[in-house]
Amino acid sequence: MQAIRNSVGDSGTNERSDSALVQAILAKIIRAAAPGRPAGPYLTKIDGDVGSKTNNAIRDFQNEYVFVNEATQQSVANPLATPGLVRPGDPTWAKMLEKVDAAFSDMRVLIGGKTVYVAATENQRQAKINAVNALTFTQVFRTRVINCITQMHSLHGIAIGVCPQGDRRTFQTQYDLLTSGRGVTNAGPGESNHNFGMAADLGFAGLRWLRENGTVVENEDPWLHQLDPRQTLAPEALRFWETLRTVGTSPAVGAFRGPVADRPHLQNWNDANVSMTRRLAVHLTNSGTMRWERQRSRYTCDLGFGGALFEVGTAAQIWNREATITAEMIRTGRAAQAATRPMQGGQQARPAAAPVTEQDVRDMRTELRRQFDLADANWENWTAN
Amino acid sequence: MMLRFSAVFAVTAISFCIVASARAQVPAKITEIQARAFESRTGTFSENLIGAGARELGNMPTGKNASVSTFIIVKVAFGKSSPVPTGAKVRLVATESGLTPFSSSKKDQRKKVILDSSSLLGPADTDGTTYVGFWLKRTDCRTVVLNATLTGIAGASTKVETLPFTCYE
Repeated sequence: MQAIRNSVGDSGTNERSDSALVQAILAKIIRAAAPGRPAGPYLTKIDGDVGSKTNNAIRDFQNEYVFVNEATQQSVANPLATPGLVRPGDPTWAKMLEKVDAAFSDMRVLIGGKTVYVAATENQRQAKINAVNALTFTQVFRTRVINCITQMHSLHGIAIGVCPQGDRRTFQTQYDLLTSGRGVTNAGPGESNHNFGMAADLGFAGLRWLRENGTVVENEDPWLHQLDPRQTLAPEALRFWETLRTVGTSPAVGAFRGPVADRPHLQNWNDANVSMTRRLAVHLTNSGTMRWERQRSRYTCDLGFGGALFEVGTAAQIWNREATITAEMIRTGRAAQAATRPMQGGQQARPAAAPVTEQDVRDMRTELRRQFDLADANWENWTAN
Repeated sequence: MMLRFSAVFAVTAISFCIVASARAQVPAKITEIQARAFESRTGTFSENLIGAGARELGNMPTGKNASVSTFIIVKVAFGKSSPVPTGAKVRLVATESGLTPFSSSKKDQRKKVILDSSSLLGPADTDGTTYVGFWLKRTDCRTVVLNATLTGIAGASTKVETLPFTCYE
């Protein structure tokens, strides 16, 4: 069980997270039935606010377990305990830990929050790590993701995991996301930090937290839809996301955050001043047989002729075989290439170049797509600088 | 002898009436909502997206099981060997809501009814159940709340389920 930091109860410090934890424990200790009262928990509400019901529940518990000889049921003094108050490590706290339902013997709450959760087991942590080992990441980043899972479990008792599609995304997957029409991303194929196995989206699937009435949520998803149904980043949910980011970017893990609002995201490099489009152009050049450069959100390419660069469109256009190639570009490229070749013996003039056809244009679009495929296949060799 | 036969007949008749009455008293109700993602790359439907063990609905428009539409199946039960209630319909209201807080764009985040449709019940199985289908043409990145109501009969039955779709960069 997480320790409380300060006192809870009548005239206590009543920090919210301490209060919620004490309330949760009292909600998970069943009080024996008595005349006029059925068996039930000492407290039925976990809200982090200490009022008369919480104070009374503490007193009831103390009167039955702290200020009494349990064997004889005679009242006894307990000078180390304070009526109506639970203090860190005092006899009331110790007795609460002794009496709480074993299934709830390790409950946690994030500091400042009121959402009490059941700590994940070692098996649950290991299952999340096993899942990571089946996903696609670079080896260096995989180690960081596993470190993050381990640290979250070690520090907070939470078994985080990788979200669906939260590992390396192929260029096709990135294209699907870009064209989903929901404005999920502005990054085209090869332009996302997810395309190179060095970024992960992590989440809280399986987090077992206690509702205000003490029931346990058993079907939480990675994005905390149960805790935050409208996904407004409600304060209690935000606290979990902030904790994930704090742990993920700590020296013990060594990852970096991505865009500020992208809370599930961690990546392997600091992307300050890194242009993903410029890096894609470099990666395309290194992976294929053409020279590429970035021109704002569009790309230029030598089309394999080795001369001037031609604007060929966005990554999405190129991926979808809609590169903005024209017959004139191919004609110009061919002519420039031919001009660099030495004349054959006795040749007075270069032979006229063959006319460029629509099929040539289509073939070039297919070839540009193939260059992207090569870059996609070469993802492990992408660099951020 | 005649008296004994009459008594047996009467008991049998009363029993039948009691059973029939009990059957008639089974309230027609919606007992389940299923949701099956239609997968664009395979032309097949997914497992049920609702219930324990259902897949997590993140970035559904991507990957080998990419899906941007969902078929909803509403199960109605009205008792074994009972007639299909005349005039009964299932009304399904599907409402998109919720933000996509991890997306680049915060546009188009208002609550929106994406389907409000009623459908008559079809033939029922001998166990007194029938199924009604509805097509949600666009399901991808926002939470969809399904509210199914049985109308046209006394004692309307309603069932609500949520499909927590979300997308993230």
